[in-house]
Amino acid sequence: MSLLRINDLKVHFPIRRGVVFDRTIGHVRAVDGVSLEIQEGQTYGLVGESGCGKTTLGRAVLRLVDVTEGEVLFGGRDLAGLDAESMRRERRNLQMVFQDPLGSLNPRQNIGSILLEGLQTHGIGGPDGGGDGPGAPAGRSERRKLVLEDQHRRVVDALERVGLSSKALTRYPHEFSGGQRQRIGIARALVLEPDLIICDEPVSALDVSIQAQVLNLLESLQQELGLTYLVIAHDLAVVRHVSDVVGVMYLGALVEEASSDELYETPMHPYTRSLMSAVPVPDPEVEDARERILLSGDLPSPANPPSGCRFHTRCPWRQEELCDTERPELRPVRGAAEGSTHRVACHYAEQILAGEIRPDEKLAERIVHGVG
Amino acid sequence: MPTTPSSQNPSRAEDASDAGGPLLGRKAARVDRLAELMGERDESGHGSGIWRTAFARMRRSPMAITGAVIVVVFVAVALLSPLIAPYSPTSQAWGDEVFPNQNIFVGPRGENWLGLDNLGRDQFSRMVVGARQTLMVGVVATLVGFGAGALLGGAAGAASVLGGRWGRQLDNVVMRVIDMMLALPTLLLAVTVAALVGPSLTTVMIAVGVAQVPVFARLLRGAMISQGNRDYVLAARALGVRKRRIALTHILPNSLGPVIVQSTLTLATAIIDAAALSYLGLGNPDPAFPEWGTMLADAQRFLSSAPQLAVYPALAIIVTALGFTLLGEAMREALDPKLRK
Amino acid sequence: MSSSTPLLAVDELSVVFRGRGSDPEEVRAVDGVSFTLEEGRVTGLVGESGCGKSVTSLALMGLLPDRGVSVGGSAVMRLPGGEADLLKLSQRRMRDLRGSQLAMIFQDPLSSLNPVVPIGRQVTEILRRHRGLRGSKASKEAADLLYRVGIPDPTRRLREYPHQLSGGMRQRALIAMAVACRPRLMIADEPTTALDVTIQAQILELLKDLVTEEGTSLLMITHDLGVVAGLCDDINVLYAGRAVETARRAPLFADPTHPYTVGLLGSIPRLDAPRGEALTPIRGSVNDNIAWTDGCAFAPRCDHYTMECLQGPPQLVTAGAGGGAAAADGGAADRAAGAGHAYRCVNPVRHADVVDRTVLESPAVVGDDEEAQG
Repeated sequence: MSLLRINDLKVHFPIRRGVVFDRTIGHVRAVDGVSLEIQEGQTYGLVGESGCGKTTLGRAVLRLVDVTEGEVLFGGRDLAGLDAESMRRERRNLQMVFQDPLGSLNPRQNIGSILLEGLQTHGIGGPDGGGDGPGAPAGRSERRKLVLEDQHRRVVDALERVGLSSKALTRYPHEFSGGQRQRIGIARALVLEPDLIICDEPVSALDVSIQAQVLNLLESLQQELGLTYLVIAHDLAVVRHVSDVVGVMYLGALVEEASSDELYETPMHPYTRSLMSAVPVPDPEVEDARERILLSGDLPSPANPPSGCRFHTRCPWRQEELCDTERPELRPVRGAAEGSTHRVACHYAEQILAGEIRPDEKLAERIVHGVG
Repeated sequence: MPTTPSSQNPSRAEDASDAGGPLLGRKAARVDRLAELMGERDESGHGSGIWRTAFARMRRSPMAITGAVIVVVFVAVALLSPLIAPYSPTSQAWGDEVFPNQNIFVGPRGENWLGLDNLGRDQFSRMVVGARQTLMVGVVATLVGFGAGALLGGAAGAASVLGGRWGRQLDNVVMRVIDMMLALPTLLLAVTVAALVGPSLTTVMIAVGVAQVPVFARLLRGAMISQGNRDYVLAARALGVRKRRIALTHILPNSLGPVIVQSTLTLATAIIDAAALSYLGLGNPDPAFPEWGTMLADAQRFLSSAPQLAVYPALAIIVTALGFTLLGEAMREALDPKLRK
Repeated sequence: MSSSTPLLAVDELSVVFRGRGSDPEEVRAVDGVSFTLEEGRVTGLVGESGCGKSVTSLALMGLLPDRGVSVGGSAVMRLPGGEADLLKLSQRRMRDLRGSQLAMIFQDPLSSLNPVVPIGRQVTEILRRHRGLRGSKASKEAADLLYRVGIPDPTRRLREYPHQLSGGMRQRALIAMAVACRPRLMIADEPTTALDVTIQAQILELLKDLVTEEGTSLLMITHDLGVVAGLCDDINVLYAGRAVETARRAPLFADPTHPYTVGLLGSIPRLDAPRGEALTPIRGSVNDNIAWTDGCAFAPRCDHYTMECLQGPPQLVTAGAGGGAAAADGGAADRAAGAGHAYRCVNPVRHADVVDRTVLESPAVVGDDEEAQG
């Protein structure tokens, strides 16, 4: 069953100029028509380079940025259409883990108060499990005590789940190491018992040896609590490691989506292929033998994206027809195996895979063939 | 020379089979030794907030200590002035010893530590009582500036960060008004206010305070906007915290640091500005309440014959202002996140 | 490896920062690091934050502040006028060497370029200072340089300011400035960390070409073992200011010996690994270490440590070269090929352990592989 479904989501940021009063002179199309579906209990990995709109997409799901167009169906409700207050309440079910573990924790709050904030905001805790409604008038102080005790229990429980002791409660964020801070960030999300956690670059700010700790933690939490993740990262190896389904984004749109293994075994979109060939592997033998597709040039501006296929300006497989005129849709791969959910946004994906279309050596800056 | 694994491992294998005794003992010994080497790394206890660490750093800074000593002495003198001053500041008990027209003045002596002024009043007593006036002007003026400025700037900043489209418009309007205020020279503004209300101590305090409003407003707004773009604010929004609570418990406390530092520095400028206004004759005309700026103005006429009459209040103003400035700068340094470990 | 003297021989380099104030607290950022650099080869310094890799590079370039820092050891470099110890040269001499013989590429290209001066002026400035080129000659050479590092339309780019270039272009411009005087030694400090992977691949390819074509020696400083595997010939793994393992590329990855290296390799998700393969992280964080004088700094995070690890500093042992540890090891034959493979550990990971990673997870069963041997 799909927990989250995004239909043709668009997030356009106005570009404003003006001395006294701002005028809108254009739009940055950060997310420009993305549709995807996340199954309950699974991990959806969103990968792409900086400026591809993956972070904006994650924030748009939580309505932390304004949605320009499209639907975000969470358990059947359209989050994009909710009024501000209902959305605020709904956030208890969708939580977020941020990239910068220190920056995402208020330096003036101790850990206890950071973790309690969500519970207090949503009025969670108490003998009947809590809720937003006011407590019964009888025995209010009694009830209040029970609520506080229950909230404390939940906070300690969340801390222990992420591998920290209750000693941490009275300490401040700057007294912890990077990995511990990220654990606190995860605990803050967990304490609300959400259904979906959006992890925006959860490990990229951490030391290598700490990354694995956090990835393992996320994985074991998923197994214990049946969580659903949307993992947003630039590191394809990390995304492949944690995700069931991987979506590759380029310039505000999904270019390819497949199960983690299928994407690794048969990447079809030229961008996915070049991205994959660029990820370093810590093994000299693999590194020496690999074919590398070096892309020429840089990412075009999302304020003024290229016509047709957004990737055609850098694509080594670019063809005379269609590529620069017609924007390819994300469509199921033709002739894919039974039950495959592989989707790709390229007019010529199948021909490229079959080797019928050869890359233009001039457009790829160079395709470096391995020596081994 | 490292022990060879072959000679060491069999014993370890034995340990493993003999669960309990020796293995646990060795493991415990290893853990103990490690804990010992790690020393105090695992210090438990309460965490320290930013202000506490900043205070600890300031205690080691000679700049902060100097500033604090000056400020404490000044405040103590100001508060206890009736007890410290040996004579009444208005008593012309020695009026027959001073003849300004004939350039006859009385310098420091055992009876009058700083000598007599042009009307034969005890200069030391006047200085001590003047400290109280100066402190009051400085504090009230700063509070006026801080209060009004923080209100305007805080509202503009919060609106800009959390208010969406309308918030940004509100911020725009408020800030343009502030810019207009900033365009007026402090002293001119103060003179205008004084001219409208008439010369009095209240005039000076309001005038100096109003002149500080744009500084505080801009500072707090800037700090709030930069804090508002930080990830922890986004995290609070993601958590579902209400906007008002985000503004009051997350953004505002983190933005106050620079504003508090600025208010220390403003105290120094307020004292100088107040002295300047008094010097221009806009201050309290009542001789019963000597003020350092007024004293300086009065002494001007006798600058050639009795320069000490000008030197004392001038020096007092400079040292006091320096004290507040040193303290403010030390606080700014101690709170600077770049210098924090 | 050539039998002649290396281009740069760093011997027991140490850098100590002294704190200010009444009770100066000493921080040994680099604590006796030795390595050699050969021409036309890439040497990697790998480690996590705080391991001393960046400080090492700054010390070699003479870019550490004068006050509060004491640098020990030696770094003898072969220069046109004979050998010289970089650490003992005068400031003035170092300034001349930087740019002409030594060049450095930093992590953040935007902050390493002057934002208010066009790229062209910044490149020609170097050409004028070190090669005496002026006017149109200098600008032509500058355009050539930009073209060589893969910047299209170089004459136009020369007139642009750093903020007008993309991150990858800026890093290329910085590399152009570094290679402007054909330095014998280039130090790259995390040159691709701030860049996207596709751009990183371009830059790494460029560096590789420069090393093979110009015969430059490159000291590559990075935290990314993947980058190291593709680029570096010789690798030094640093931890807490000391090299814990030194080896050629192939043996290091095929046969990692120090528990820290093993841990690092086990911590990275590999793109080509089967999905679902568990990661084996190193526990704790880089702050959990003890002083080298007390024992192995890595011991608090190590699943392998014994009492011996906590008794004095471990020595750098050469693998398979008659050392006691290596000789007694069943896997000595595997390592005969790995000449120059050395590690600083009294209880190293043997090859069998790497294959069976479960051993790492519970130190109590370390004895198990003894049964496999016997």
